[in-house]
Amino acid sequence: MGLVARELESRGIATVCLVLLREVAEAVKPPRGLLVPFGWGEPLGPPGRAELHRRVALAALGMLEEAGEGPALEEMGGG
Amino acid sequence: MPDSAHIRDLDPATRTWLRIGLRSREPVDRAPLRRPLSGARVAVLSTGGAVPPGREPFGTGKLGDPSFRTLPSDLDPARLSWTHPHYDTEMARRDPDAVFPLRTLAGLAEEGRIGSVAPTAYSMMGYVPLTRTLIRETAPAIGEAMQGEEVDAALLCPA
Repeated sequence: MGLVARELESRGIATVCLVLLREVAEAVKPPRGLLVPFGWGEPLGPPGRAELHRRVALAALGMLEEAGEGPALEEMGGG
Repeated sequence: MPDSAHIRDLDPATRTWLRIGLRSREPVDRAPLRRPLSGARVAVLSTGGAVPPGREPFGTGKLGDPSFRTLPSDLDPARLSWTHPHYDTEMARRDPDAVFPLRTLAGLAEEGRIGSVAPTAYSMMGYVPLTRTLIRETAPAIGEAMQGEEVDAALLCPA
């Protein structure tokens, strides 16, 4: 997924990746990554948690408006 | 608090793939968002293995599957089927937005938090141990398609 992000960025499309494993993000270095505290198959949060899904999406999309160069990795708390 | 994902919970083949695939890559610069988020067109990509009606399922063998599927972003998520060998896809059937947040993004567009959701959404099956095709064919094809729809930003969701 980070490899797709790198391609999109090269085309001028700003990307943000949700990240389940810090090890993956630190190696692949997606341009923007939000590390989320959820399990496999639920990067937005557990099923049925629509408000949590909304908050995760907003947190990720918010990274798109942050200026800076190089990879950015932020971490989202549980909830 | 929900359980976090851990490498130890994966099957041996996937752990091996991650060890191989996790070779460090050079960082790339971030493309700036061309307009405020409230006016931006946002595309969604999920590697959760969602398959739209009438399309071929993803391969789930040891070699993975580097292909992708497109679907209308406003497709009823209940019409999706799911093929992914490395997580419990029953969760995605119960609530597709947990892994493919199409309704969530539609809601953010209605709120005015983003400009719009791109007409096309993108689906992959995230187990791709052989990255050559992914890098040389799949990623450029997705990029070209997004450029064709004048996408400003993309939210990428793993599984």
